[in-house]
This record gives sequence, C-alpha cells and structure tokens, in this order.
Amino acid sequence: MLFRFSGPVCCLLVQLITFSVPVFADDDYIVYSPHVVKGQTEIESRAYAVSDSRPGFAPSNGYLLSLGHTFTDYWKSEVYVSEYQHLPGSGNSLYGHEWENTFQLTDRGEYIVDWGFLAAYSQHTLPGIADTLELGPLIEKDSGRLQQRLNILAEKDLGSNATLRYALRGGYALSYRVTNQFQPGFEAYYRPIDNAHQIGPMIQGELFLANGKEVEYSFGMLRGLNNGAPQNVIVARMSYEFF
Amino acid sequence: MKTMTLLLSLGLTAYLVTAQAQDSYTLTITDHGVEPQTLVVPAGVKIPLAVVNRTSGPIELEGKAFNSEMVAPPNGQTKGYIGPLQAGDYAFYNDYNRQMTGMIRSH
Repeated sequence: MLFRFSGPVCCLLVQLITFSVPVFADDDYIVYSPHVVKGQTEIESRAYAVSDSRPGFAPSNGYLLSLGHTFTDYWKSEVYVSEYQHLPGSGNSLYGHEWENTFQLTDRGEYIVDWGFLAAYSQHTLPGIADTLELGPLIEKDSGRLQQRLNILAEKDLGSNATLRYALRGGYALSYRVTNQFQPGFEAYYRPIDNAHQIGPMIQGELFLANGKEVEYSFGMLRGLNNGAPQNVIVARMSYEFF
Repeated sequence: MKTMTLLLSLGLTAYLVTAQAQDSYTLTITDHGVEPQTLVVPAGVKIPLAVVNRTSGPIELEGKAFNSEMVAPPNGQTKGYIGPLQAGDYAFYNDYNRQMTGMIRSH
C-alpha cells in the first residue's frame, strides 16, 4: 500500500505547521490509532472527571457516546451522537456533535512506523463557541509487546464565532501487552493553546467475546505538569466492537 | 559539499533498497484451519503478507513473528509486513479461536 493521500496530506501539514498560533481547543483525552478493520462497527463511550482544589478548574467533567463503522480497507467514519460537558459554575450541557474520519495510509509494518490521518468536524451547541475542523497525522509503532502512538493534531475554528488561528495539540501513548486483557502504560498530552500539559498512567486491554465481538477498555489518571493544567483528571474509555 | 551529497545519496539509496522480499506470501484461514500450516519465508528480509479469511467470523493473528496483530474481517482479507526474522520457527494463533494455530518458518 502506497501513501494514498501523500500529496495533499503533506501540503496540508506544511500549511498547518506554518500558520499554527494558539487558540482555544477542546479537551479530547484519546490518542488515536491509524489502524482500521474493514467491516467493523464500534460503539464507544468516553468520560473524564477533573479533580482540582483551585477555583475555576472543578467540578468539571464530560462524557460522550459515538457510533463508528469502517467502510473500506483504509477509511473509518465515526459520529459522536452526543457530547456533554459539565464546567465549573454550570450544569451538564450538550456540548455538540462530531463527525470523525480515520484514514489508514500504510499497511502494518510496511515502514518504520504506521501512518494514518484524522479529519474531524465538530459542531458546538454552546453559545459563543465556534465549530471546529481538526486534522493531523496519526502514527503508531508496534514492536512485539510494546505499542507506541503519536498524534499531532491541528484545530481550526469555523463559522461566525471563528478566530483566524489554529490550535495545535499532541498526544502520545505507550503500552506494554502483558496479556491482551492487561496492557499497562501511560499517556501524555501537550496542549500549548491551553498552556496545559498532562501525563499519567493508563491501563488498557481487550476482551474477546463469542462470535467475533470484542470489548476494549482503558482507564487512567492524568497529572497536570504545569499550572495551566488540571491537577488530576480521571479518564475512562470503553468500546464494543463487532462485525 | 560533494562529500556530503555523496553520503546523503548513499544513505538514501541504502534506505530505499532495504532488503525486502519480492514475493508476497499468503495465509488462508478456513474453517479447517490455517493453510499452509507452516509458511516458509526467507530470513533477514521484510515479508509482505496477505491474510485471507474464508470463515464467517473475524480473525486476529498474533505471535512473535508479528510486530502488530493482523486482523481480517469475516470473509475478507488484510495485508501487512512481518520481519525481518531471524532463522527459526515462529508459532502464531488466532485470538478469537486459540485452537487455530500455525507456524512461520524462517530460514
């Protein structure tokens, strides 16, 4: 498999890096994999909760529900049917909806790392918050039991509340497969736009069920590395996958 | 400058022609098991591998020969690369059906 979208992807990456200037960005505690499996359907739920003694940081939490399907050998599409957030001083609010697309660009093991690309559009329902377009490469390196993922994503505001700037954020995940069900590791997030950087231990795993069904989970706690980040964030993800 | 250009050219050439097997290899999964039961591949080169799934359920092949699991949908296929492998036998199995096993023999 060659780089199917190498030309336009490279041009877009150059443009994003050249014009990246900090703007407000959503919280998104996940490091995406570039791999997709044709014909697989996924129901996913994610949640986070902030613990912080400083005013203005807590209580804050959010959760979302999404439905995804992989239509081809290289394209997975996912719709976030609901995203809720509870911010300090407000109740639970429907934050919006999102349409997310993952493109697998290379075959597993073909190059030093496996490449993919993310393209996502978010519609935000809260007043004053612009819709956003998010783009960027997804990278994975599997070395036996060790798995590493890196995402470098850029977000651009759209619509009447849009600013003219881009927001860059990065995510890195490392895990070691002790067993399929138990894969400890850590995740780190770099969010210059929020001046918030976080890192923390994670446990993930996959549980194989009958008839080709599978449950994947991950739980962890992220610690803030600087004053702009929440002191602690508990993150939980679970997905049910089937054909 | 000429030396640097020559070194860069040699490095790029070495990277581009990194030893890779020319032929693609295929594992076919049926209700009766893995075919071939033992897949023989050359050692020391990266191997393009196709996994064809002729069963009604998904398969997920794992083993020391695979840096990354190979997942094929029901009645579908997947492609990937394994290796370079040192000479030896590498057992693998299907995560969805541990009774389904095979071997990759590198020599």
